[in-house]
Amino acid sequence: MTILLEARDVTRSFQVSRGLFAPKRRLHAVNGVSLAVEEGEILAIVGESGCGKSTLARMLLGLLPASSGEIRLGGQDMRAMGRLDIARRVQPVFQDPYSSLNPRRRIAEIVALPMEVQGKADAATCRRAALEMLERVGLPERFAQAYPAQLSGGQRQRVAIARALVMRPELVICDEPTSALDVSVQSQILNLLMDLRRDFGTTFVFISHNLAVVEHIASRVAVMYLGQVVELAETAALFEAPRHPYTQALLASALTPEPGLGIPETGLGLAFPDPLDPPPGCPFHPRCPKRIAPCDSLAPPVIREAGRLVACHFAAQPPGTSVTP
Amino acid sequence: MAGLAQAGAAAAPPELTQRALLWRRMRGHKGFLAGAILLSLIILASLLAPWISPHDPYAQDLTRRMIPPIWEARGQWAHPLGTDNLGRDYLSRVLWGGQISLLIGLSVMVISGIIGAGLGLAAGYFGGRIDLAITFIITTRLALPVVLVALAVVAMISGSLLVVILILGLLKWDRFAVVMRSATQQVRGLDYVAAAEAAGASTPRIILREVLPNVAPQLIVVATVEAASAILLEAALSFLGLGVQPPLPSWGLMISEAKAYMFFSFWLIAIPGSALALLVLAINLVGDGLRDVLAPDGRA
Repeated sequence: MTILLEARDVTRSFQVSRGLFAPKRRLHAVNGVSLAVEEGEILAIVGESGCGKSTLARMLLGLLPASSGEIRLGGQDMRAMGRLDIARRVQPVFQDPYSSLNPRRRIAEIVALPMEVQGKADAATCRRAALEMLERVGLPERFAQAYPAQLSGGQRQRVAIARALVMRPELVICDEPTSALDVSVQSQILNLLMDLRRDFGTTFVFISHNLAVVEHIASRVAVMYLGQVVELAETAALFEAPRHPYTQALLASALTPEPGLGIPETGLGLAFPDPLDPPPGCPFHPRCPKRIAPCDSLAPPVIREAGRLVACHFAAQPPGTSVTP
Repeated sequence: MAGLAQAGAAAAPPELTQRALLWRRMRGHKGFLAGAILLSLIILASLLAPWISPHDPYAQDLTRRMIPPIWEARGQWAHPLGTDNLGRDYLSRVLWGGQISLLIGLSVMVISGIIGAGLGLAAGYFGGRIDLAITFIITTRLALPVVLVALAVVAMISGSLLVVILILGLLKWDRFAVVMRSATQQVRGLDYVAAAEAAGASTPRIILREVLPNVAPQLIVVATVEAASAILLEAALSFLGLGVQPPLPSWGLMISEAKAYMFFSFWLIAIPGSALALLVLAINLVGDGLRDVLAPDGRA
């Protein structure tokens, strides 16, 4: 497997102003993330709101520079690459199709944009490519002259997908591409993405908090918590035997279709920590049901074995050791 | 794949084009209609002034001073709106004066619009230090009273139509800048701007083709308000003797010249005053109407 995109110890922090005279503070939205996207795979990134998934996505797209660390696309540092070079290879699909399409432009113009700005094809070629791509995502030619306001949410997301794929990029980064859609439309969009992936051989980074979707489509899953990757594994292995307590809680929290079972108890409590003031040691320790002695003072060790990555004191212990919290 | 994809995409988009929809909304908006009709009448009358005005607006005839309008007892059909203290035909002067007001409204709107919208777009799009610098410039501008600056400039280089246009145009961009800045900030955060960035579009292209069309409704509304306010300010400056100089027939100047006769020949002040009020009302009605009509997707 060749590595298409690689993030090496990537951090992104923001200055947060809390008033005129209060000192500014740094918020680490993404804190030392390393991961590699292999060619042809679907890497899912999961985690609750505010864990830094979307910030990471914006950095992988080259829209936001990393505060430290580096992102390499096809072995080349992204900072050294031109905007158009990155655009040709990586494209996004955003969450909300109601804000990702310019309401003042026609569907064909929106889809043709990535090809048009490359400046290598004339207007007629761009338009033909856009129409062809619209056809591929299931929108016949009569939609080409429409404006986004005339389309439904599912149709708009098809347009966004067509725009992302019109240049046949190697990598598409989907930031929760189905979570703004009706349940009935979600599966259509997912199937469309999978069809296109098969036809074009596109690699996907798939950000989601819908675990059922992730289990269904992803080849590997990275679990993020408070700006860090806490567990990364093959999808089947992760869902069968999650090793990080946070992953375990996340999987336990997934709703089952069985109404009699009620709403699952996560054992996490409600307190998502303040990202401005992250807990010392393991960021997850205040909510962790398996907390042990070093958790609140030492950063957890990163265990790598058999293609898996877990950052946890508890998981690092030899099995069978008795633990007193 | 095709079958599945088609299922979700079956519904055809409605046939109405955006232009047709806009046209329909415009016709349904009473305030806009009233304003547009009134404004077009005023524009038409002013533009046609050389052909429809009964007399030369500068021709004095001291034997025919202060003739009242025709609805007064001594009114004459030769001068439907009477004559002023120098015997000039008032109807002709009101019609020609409309040209001056419209010229000032339009050119001040264009000059200040370009300056203000440019600054506002830059501040809203780039943010950070550029935003801070531009906000400082806006605040500085807001601290300058227009009339005082006009007074100083006219004292130095004497007033004329061009000077008035330049003073107002170079000073009245503040509202454009403030409104464009906040409108741009809103649009800047939307995903279609991020998508265009990710597509590799250049910054000028994103500002002109992704951001500007989406802040245009606000821009148009501010432009109408500013045109109306520029016309009023010109009248005020001319009234104070700082603006257009006699014998040009500006409405503000006509009011100023008439103030000495206000108690005995009130029409001298009432006629240009009403013309001014009607023009400003019409522009504001059109602006308000456009704000409602141009909201995308009918969502205000």
